[in-house]
Amino acid sequence: MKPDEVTRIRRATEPPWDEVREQRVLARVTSQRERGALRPGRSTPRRAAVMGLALATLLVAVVMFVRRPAGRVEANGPPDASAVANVHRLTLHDGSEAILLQDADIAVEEQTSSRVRLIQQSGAVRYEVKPEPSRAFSVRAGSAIVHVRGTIFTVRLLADNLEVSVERGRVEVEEGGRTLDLIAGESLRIPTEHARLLPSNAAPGSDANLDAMPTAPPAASAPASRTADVAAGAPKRDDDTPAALLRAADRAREDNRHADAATALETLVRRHPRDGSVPGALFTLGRVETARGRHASAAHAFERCAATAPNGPLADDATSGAALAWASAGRTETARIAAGAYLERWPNGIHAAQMRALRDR
Amino acid sequence: MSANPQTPLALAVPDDATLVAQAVAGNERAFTLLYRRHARYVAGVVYRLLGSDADLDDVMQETFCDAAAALGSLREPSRPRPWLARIAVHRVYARLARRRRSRWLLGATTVLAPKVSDPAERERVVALYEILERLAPKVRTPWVLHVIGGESLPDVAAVCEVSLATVKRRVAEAEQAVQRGLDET
Repeated sequence: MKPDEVTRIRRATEPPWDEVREQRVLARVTSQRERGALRPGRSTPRRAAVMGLALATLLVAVVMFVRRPAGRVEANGPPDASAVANVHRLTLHDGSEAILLQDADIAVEEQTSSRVRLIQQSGAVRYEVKPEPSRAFSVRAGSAIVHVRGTIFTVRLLADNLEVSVERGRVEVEEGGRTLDLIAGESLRIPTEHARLLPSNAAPGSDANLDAMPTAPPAASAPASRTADVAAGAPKRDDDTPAALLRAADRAREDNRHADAATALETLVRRHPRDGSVPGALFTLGRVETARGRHASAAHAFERCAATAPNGPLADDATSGAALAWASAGRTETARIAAGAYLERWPNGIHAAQMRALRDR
Repeated sequence: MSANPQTPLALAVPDDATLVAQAVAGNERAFTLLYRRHARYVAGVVYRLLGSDADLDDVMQETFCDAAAALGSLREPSRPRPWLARIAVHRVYARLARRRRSRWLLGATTVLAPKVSDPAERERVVALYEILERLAPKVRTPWVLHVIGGESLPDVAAVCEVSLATVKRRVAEAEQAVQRGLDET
């Protein structure tokens, strides 16, 4: 081959390798090495005993978390058999609690180890949700669905509007095909005169206004399939595998289709919450959201990454990424706190100098 | 007397031999730095040999897990790059063999070629990878590493674990096949 042709082909075959992909593969390497480190030295009888114990635990878990029938708890009514409750407090199997305030009426639609779905029919309920990344927790109230990781928030479903207020952590409110992130101190009010008390299997209304106060920009391009994503028993397709979704995200990133990349990554996290690729996907999502100029969403993604794998190889990068994203979003105080948290954990970390500058700004 | 501005930099960036020694001693940060320093290079080797990024993450993961497990046996800690490439090539061979088997079993005819945005360039690259696909991995690999990857022949010999003479012969054999194939297109 002629030298100039070799040069052209060499340039054309540069690997699609960037910092995000580098981080993601590193996370996989670290994860596999950690798993591998547990293997040597285990004798066969010991392995058999461990497997037996694991099987027994699994059986107990299956028995405990087998799908419960739907039940209802009212503020002044009797507790339901599917949950341990007193008159004003509903305790769920994962330890989360719903505190029934004024005129509250809620029902447990689904309660398994991987998913908790509640329906709030009326009144005000304060939810204290235990952090558990592998469990999807959602509350449907009127035409909106509140998706939760671990947080404390209150939902007030009144005659003419729905109000969601977050005390701690973060929630994602989905309404009419759009989503909005709320963090501690933020609240959202949605008019609900047209969509009150939707049955659980009905499609949410599409014309309500998201009249939000938070600085986080609304995810106007949120996928229409999001509701379907959380529906139980959605068919699994080949292109829904974590690897396929990551590839789709990578292709989209290469083509600067950031919204598509974000959608693929969010789908991966939602559909495969226990997969080992989730921390990497969340980290990538943080970078994608940064590229889109959605700094608050980027910060959320980085925080979720760090929370999902607090001892993973991406934890320090994600924590510093969150601090920087908060700063870019204009949330100076939150950024300062995040930088301080980073320095507390990694005083000599590779981002320490940058975090120190951010904290002391 | 002013301080030498190079000194802090030299101290701040440990060389490969130091990182290898620290990583062997269990220092995770050292292993991470080694990974970050060489991952792009190894990814280039893997990508050019495979011709697609479908398996790139998997092969990279396998390569660096193998490397982590065998780091203590590295003979030249100051030169981990050819050693990493050698591990990667072994992993790529396994993938290519699997790809050949599935093509034989399923009769698939798809040729995987790197994604190129320029249509004219893409045609040429696809043609090249169609030719490479017909070559045995042991012939294809030295040519890709030397001609496309720009590696020296002694380095290619070390990566492929064959003699310099064998590498020269295989590169020449592949070059003939590539040139003939490209002339026909």
